[in-house]
Amino acid sequence: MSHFTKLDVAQIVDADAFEAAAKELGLKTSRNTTAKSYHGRNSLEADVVVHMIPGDDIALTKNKDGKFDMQADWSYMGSSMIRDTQFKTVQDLQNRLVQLTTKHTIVSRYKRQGFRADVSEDENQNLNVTLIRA
Amino acid sequence: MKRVLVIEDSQDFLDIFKQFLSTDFEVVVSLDQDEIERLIPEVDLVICDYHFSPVLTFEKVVEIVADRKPVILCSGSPDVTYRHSVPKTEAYKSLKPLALSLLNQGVKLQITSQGGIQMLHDDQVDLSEFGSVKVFRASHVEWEPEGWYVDSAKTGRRLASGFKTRQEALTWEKSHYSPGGDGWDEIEDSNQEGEVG
Repeated sequence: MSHFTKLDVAQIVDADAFEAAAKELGLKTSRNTTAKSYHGRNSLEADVVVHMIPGDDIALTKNKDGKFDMQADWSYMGSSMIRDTQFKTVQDLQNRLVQLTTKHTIVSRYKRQGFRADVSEDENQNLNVTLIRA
Repeated sequence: MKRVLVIEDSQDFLDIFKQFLSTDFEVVVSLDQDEIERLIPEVDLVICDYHFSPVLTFEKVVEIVADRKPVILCSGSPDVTYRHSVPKTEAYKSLKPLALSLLNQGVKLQITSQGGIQMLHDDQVDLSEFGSVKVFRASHVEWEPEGWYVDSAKTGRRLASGFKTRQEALTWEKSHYSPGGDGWDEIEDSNQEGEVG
């Protein structure tokens, strides 16, 4: 007899994994620097900055729980930045960043514990991961 | 459905293998080296005879497959050994459980396109660091005089029965409820919370 384990949206727990996810999407990143938003009028110190267009970045910042939040001027990004990317909506971009960050986190964590990870993507863009003890 | 490549020159054994493997696998057959090399990326498991060709040997097949897919040696020769092997005389009772077991090695999980994570629970993988986890029952594995059986916890429907051992039932269940398995959709539809144990 078995049980399902399910988590609706994974939180970001690893800044390195987030940066790897952004790079996998072909986005430029910087570490431990200032992120800009609202056409450069606002700024925020961030652990990882994803450069979308000049003056508007995605900032990854640590929260009080020790995990990370993505922050950006999402409404502006929706109308302007997204049209140049592979994503139809801001939500698609956020979902893909979280998904790939989770993949990099799991692969890295379990590799250190002696597992090999096989990852494949299905037709619905879900990532199927098999962890095999090496 | 998982695909199994069977490399076997006896039509009688091929017929027998197909008869009891085709309930759980798509069976493809080949004795041709070029075709085998082409098929390896497309199949999940290889079942190979020992004496089947004057040109292509079992050792050569293992070399071609390398570590890409598991290989089971199914031979009538008692003096031939391999890490995963089943004597032909025991193929009917042992081959399918070993195939299912090899295909279900490891922990399988799915990271959804919405950023969620879901899996058949396994103590080796702790998802709690990623947030609030829900755990709920997938199935019931029970015994009756005809053998062990698996019922869906969601629908109560009998999914499979007649397993000689509880481990065979659990192995089948793991395959059924893994990403890509026939029962995987039940996790998509479920939104129950909290039941653990």
